[in-house]
Amino acid sequence: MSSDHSAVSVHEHPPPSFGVPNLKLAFWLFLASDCMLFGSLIATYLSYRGKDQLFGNGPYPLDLFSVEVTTISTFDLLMSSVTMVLAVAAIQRGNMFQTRLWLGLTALLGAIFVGFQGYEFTHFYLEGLKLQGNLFGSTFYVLTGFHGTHVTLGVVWLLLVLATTFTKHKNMVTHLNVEVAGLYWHFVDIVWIVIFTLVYLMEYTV
Amino acid sequence: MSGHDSHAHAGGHDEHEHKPTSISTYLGVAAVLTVLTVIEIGPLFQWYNLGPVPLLVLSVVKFAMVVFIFMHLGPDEPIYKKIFVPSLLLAGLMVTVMMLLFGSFTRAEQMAYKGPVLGYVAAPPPKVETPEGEAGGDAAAGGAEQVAAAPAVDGAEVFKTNCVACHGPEAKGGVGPNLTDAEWKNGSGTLADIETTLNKGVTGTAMISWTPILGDEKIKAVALYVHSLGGGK
Repeated sequence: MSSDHSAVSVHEHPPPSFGVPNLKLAFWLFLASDCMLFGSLIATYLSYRGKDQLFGNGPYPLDLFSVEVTTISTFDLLMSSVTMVLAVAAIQRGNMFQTRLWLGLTALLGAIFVGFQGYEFTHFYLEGLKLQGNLFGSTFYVLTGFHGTHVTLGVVWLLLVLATTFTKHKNMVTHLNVEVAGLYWHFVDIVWIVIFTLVYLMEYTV
Repeated sequence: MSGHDSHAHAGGHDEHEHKPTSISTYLGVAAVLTVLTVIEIGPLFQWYNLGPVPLLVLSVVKFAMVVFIFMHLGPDEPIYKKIFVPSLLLAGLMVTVMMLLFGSFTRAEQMAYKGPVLGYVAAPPPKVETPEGEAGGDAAAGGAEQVAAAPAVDGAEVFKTNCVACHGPEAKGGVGPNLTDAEWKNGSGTLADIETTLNKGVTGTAMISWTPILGDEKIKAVALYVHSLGGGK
């Protein structure tokens, strides 16, 4: 049986060893490691949280945070997760029109989120929050910057999938491929759920 | 079962590995997520206040709904859970430990007088206090002033409990300035100036007004102690 396996793997995708698609298995492994990346960035942010006040070294979070911007961008990203599951459901039913519609809408909502972050960073920078200015600046920009980069890459990925559906390679856009892109997209959303609570919401209560 | 059979089965696996979640379930989850987010943002607009614990719970619920329903981790093959969940728990544990260790949600003004950090308090108290009437020896320099003001409280003890967190166990500085040299950031290092700084604090720094916490007697004692450290004038 083992010789059978190796014979197949020479010219085809190797057979999945766990009875699940290798791509999806590998992608969950990547997400598990990305968990640790964001875990450490969030832990770093929290370790230094509020310590600038000890040195009298502003600006502090509440000097800068904008309630409206955060609310809108949070809703925007949350809704993009909904359009993403609808895209996965559409390709599962073989509905190419809806797949394109929801993929495009997800990418658009993602781009809007990145736009809000660009606005936020610019605004914060002009208000005096520098990457090397204080602990809040360093930890905030690195954490939300890594998240924003993830969103940006997700938008590019979704647009590539969308573009592929219009080419002669459209058979490559399978349920599995859209689902894995969706896994990435939802992961970026859940990271924001955590950042939104620990970085923004906590500032207004504790 | 031959090798060929098992391969054919695995190859078709992605087509029917789990029943697809219905659109109405997705929309239901979307509605719940929206409602939870509306509840969360209440404190931002000061409609009401939510404590940290309800906020964390709401966030965990939203997180779980997206992971288990949108990402299909719930109905999907168990292998994905085995990969993702331990890593997620490890990351969560790390965040929690750091949060507790560094007092992420402790206000700065509460931190300054937390004092007993890293066991500073366990060290033996340095000999500074000279009993009234026996003001010879070391106290000769401080002389009359010191004897006149000598309080019943041990200034070194007060310093060790309240000041070492910022000024260091030997008062040689840390977050706050060194108190043993002749350089003074605030005032000129006279006993009266030190007492003023202790009473009023220094705006914009972690040096708060200590009068409400220590009271007059302890303030005088610790001022005397700081004055005696070598930088006093």
